[in-house]
Amino acid sequence: MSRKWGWPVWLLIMTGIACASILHLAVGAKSIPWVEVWQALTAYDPSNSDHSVIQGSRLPRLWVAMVVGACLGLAGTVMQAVGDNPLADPGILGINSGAALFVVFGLLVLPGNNMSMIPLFAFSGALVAALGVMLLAGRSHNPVRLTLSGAVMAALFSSITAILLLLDQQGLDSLRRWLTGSLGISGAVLPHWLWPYLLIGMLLCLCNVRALNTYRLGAQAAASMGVNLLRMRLMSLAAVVLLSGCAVALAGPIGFVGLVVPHAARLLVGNDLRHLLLATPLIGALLLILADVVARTLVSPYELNTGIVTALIGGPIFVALVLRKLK
Amino acid sequence: MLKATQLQLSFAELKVLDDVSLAIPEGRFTALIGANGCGKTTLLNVLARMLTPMSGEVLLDGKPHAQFSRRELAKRVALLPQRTSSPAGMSVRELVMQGRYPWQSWWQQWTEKDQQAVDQALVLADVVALQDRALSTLSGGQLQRCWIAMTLAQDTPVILLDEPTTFLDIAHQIALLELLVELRDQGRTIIAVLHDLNQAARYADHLVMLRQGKVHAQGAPAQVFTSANLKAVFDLNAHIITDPHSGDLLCVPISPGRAGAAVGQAGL
Repeated sequence: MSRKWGWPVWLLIMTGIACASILHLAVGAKSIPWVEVWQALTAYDPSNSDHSVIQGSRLPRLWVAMVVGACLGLAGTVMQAVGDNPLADPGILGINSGAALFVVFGLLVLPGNNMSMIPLFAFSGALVAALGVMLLAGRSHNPVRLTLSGAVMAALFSSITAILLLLDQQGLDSLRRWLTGSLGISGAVLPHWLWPYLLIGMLLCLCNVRALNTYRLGAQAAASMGVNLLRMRLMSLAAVVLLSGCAVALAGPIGFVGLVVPHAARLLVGNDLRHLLLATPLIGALLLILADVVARTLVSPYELNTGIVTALIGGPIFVALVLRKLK
Repeated sequence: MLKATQLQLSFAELKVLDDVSLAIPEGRFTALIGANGCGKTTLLNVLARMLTPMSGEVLLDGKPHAQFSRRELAKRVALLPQRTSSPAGMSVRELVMQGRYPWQSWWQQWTEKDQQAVDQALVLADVVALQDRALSTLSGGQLQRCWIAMTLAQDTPVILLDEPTTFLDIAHQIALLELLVELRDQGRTIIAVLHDLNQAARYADHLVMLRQGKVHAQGAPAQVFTSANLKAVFDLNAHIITDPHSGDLLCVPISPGRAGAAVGQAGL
């Protein structure tokens, strides 16, 4: 029951990530043969131009895709668990848009800013958005109301962002791509500041796993078994804010990953959060690598933004989930 | 062990608990009875600290409730709620294992003792045969027994149950009440909201009768299980007779309209 299909599933996921990664490295403006890709990884030769494309731009972008996908997958899982809402996602509930607004505001309006402040802007925006949505949704335990509140917040933040960008035409050009979620923007490197936040976010999820599992029985039953609900909710909020903030700071607001990944993971490994919290970062990474491959090849030689691809995949799944829920 | 003093609790304008003071006898089986909406469930939830009274306090082992952490409280008091859910994709065994939550920690994961408690709870609640089934495939009565098993796995000296016999067929109702008596004999304190008055009078050592948020009467069934009290608490006309086989008290409602209701009431 708990492990739906046991270890073959994990093997499948890991193999999927490995294959997708090699595909990600091989395709692009210039296709590079698989053998070359392998050699670039194992026997790097700086004088070979293909090798330097892979090591210099594609590999870093692959890492960004993995980290962003893992963050969003994990954040979505925690949100769905703690909100007991199968439609929760950092994009749908406005957390990503809040983070994006604060980043844009910080970079365009606040004096004396620099790039290293982006994560702090992103975290504060994510926090404000999360609190706003919770306030709007109220104490009633209504998934529809929560989802609607999130949509309202997302629309509100996006329009304020648009206004800010109108006021600053120069900003528009540099930020427009980032605002639809693009992995190519962050200079394709994983900055050092990221790791502590990422680590804390993941640790918070890990510390919460047993409480979240017991919470599946309902708030009252969980409390009577000794779960400190307030602490569990605060820790989850902090984890979601940190993980979504990291993802937005790296690649802009990318939606629907946090929605789709937990559902896929539940089909594969069951509903036990101990397995889900392990599977969702992996599946999230896999999904984003594949989305980025599609983004770079679908209209080649042009490049779609990754956020557009995830929305194209995630939108129909969201509709399907809503329809199933309504039935 | 569990003592409540002058509890007051209102929901909006409605006074649900009004100056309730109780001393739950340790190691005994206490039944809470009263009409619908008289505050039984609320009182049980206050005793389990699921609700905080507006004034008054609950003492557990002489210490105010509020001084316990959630986890410490959950090692001492278990609560079987009235409404239970069956989360998707959870098996019976996994549900019962959740009962060990307060006993586990990061440095102490699943232990031999946890395993024993779960195995024993499965046996006591008679759900061993169901243990690998998904909760969503069970009937209401089976699910109720699984939740009881989870409550037992929590292994607490005090067990609170809110209408535990709901959904159970008569044989399982009696089996559950016998189980509660057996747990009492092991030294546990049992507090249950019961609907069936005869079951309450027969199995409980101590009855607490609630009427409109107040304690109307409390004591041994022999003292408080009287027609006068039933009339006051339930507005029910009934005889109390003694079961010729067991000597237990039984309440027999009087139907005013029926011939042979030999109380001399004008049968219209």
